[in-house]
Amino acid sequence: MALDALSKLMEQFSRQPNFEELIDVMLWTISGQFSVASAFAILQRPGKSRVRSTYFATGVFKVNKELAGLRLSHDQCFYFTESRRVQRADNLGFPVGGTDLESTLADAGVKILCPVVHNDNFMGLIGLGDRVSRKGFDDDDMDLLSTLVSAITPFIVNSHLFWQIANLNKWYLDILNSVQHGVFVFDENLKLRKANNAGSDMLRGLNPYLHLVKSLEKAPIELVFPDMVFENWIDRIRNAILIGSDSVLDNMLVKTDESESIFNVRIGWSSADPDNGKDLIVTIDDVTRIKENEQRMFELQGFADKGIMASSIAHELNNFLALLMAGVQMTQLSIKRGDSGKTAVTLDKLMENVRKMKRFTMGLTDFGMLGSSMQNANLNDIITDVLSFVKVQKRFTRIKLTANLDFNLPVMLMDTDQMSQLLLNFLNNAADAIAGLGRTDGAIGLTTSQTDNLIILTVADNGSGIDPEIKDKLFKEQLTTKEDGHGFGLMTCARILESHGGKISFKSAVGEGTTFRFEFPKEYDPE
Amino acid sequence: MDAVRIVNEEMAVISTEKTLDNNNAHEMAALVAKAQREGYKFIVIDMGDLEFLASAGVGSILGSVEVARGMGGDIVLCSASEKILHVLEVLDLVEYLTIKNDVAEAETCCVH
Repeated sequence: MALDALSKLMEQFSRQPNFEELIDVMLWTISGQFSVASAFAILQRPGKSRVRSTYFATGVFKVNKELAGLRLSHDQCFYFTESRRVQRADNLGFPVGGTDLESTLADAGVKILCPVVHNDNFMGLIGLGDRVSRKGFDDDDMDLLSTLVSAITPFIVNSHLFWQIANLNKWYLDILNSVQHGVFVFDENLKLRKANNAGSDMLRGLNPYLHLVKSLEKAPIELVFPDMVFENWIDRIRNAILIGSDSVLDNMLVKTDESESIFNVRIGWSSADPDNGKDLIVTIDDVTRIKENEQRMFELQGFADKGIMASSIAHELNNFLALLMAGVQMTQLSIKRGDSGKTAVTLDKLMENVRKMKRFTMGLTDFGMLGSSMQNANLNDIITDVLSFVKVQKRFTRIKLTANLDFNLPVMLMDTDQMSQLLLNFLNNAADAIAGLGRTDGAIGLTTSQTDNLIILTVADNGSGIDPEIKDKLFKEQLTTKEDGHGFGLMTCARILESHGGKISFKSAVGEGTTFRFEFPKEYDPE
Repeated sequence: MDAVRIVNEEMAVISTEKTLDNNNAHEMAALVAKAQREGYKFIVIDMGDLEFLASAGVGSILGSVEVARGMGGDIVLCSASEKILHVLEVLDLVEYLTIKNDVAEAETCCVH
């Protein structure tokens, strides 16, 4: 029966990784084999005395605090390692310092102690209470226990190692699950190995079809981030993978029926594992609220009531009103004279002036902000901010925006709001020119550079280009080529350039695109 | 392992499967411990279906006996086959354990 018990125990240790359950079964097996109601095991890392050990017990030993709190001295561990034999608990034969241990064991009812030693490393003790028959343990019993424990010790060592690894893995997993970013780990075949809790929650919140999928474990990345929800994510992630180094993908959009969310996605790599190779680590951070706040701030700044030229607005309105008044009077005269033809012509002109007035009032939102709030700032920062704002707008989603910036660009004196407005106007116009051509490969590129005296900004697009007939009139009057345009955008830009001592030039080819070049003096005194 | 059958406020009956060994000793121990935590002083283990009893199975029961007796109750084995009784005899447990012929007798002996 003992051999059968031993073989079952060894088979279970080799098969089952749950260390705590294995030790329980070992203690029950020994209890059953020796007919004891209570047994315990104190196990610690091989070769480490005075470190936290783990206590297992059955019967009344389960609730014995003295046994559970037992700590062996270095000398006691050494003694058990050297002797290795099963001993009676009331006669341990310690050369010194054993009386406390003996009394603790006696008080608890421990009768037999068996050291657990592996490769000259002390691993712990197994202790048995009295036999239920009270018959005591003879030498054969002691030998049998010694044989059982010796045979099972290597399995205990291996299981203990697996248990420590499992606990360590659990520790790392606990840390991963406490992170608020979504973290996804993909193997070298881009199949999902692990997602943390935040990541799983994000997927559940964004993907309405996720409930149809039983499990995402080992799912390909295309299933984790399906294109119908995470539009273009896979393309951008694969491009980042080709680059090979860590990178951040800004402003990744997710559109659902109810909302639109913006994420920053970080692409990283784990260290190479001999068994598994390098893992791809995708970390996603929901920045929707941050972007909304940025946009709100930008709009507020954009519409701040500073430097709006009230007198010129009033002047323009008065002009329109005067035209309207004259038109009404002429209409009245024509009606009095019964001249219906002239009446119709006059009414048409009236309507045209009303439309002009409407375009003017619509353009007021772009015409404003020509106050003065000059400060030293870097044009590259303005470009970066405006680009991050426009990237998420529908107008720009199918346009490739690139920025080739001179990182040694010095600061210059500028009104940052006006400069942002200038850049935004040109970007909007570029986007409209691209849309006007119906291009799907639209591109807008921005560059900064410098000479000894100048800071240079270029904005180039591959849109419809500027008709040669209107080139000369640009910036000089209320010019617009857009059906619903009002013409104040470019005039505003001209005023902004003037207030910064800047100049503008451009090259354009119809059907091919336009490049605007802005030159700002490095040293400029607005006074 | 069948769920615990409550007989009265002090007694519960657990029926074993065909084997009680390394694979299901934990289940037995957990059921007994749960019943004891819930205040059932007498746990009757019906061994009517039991064909194989391993050392681990014996140990999982033995550990609960002292706890039960400390509560003023007991672990009562019943309906054990000759083969199972022989195992208990070899392990010198027949005198120590409370063993009855069947469930009815076991339930009766636990009545105060």
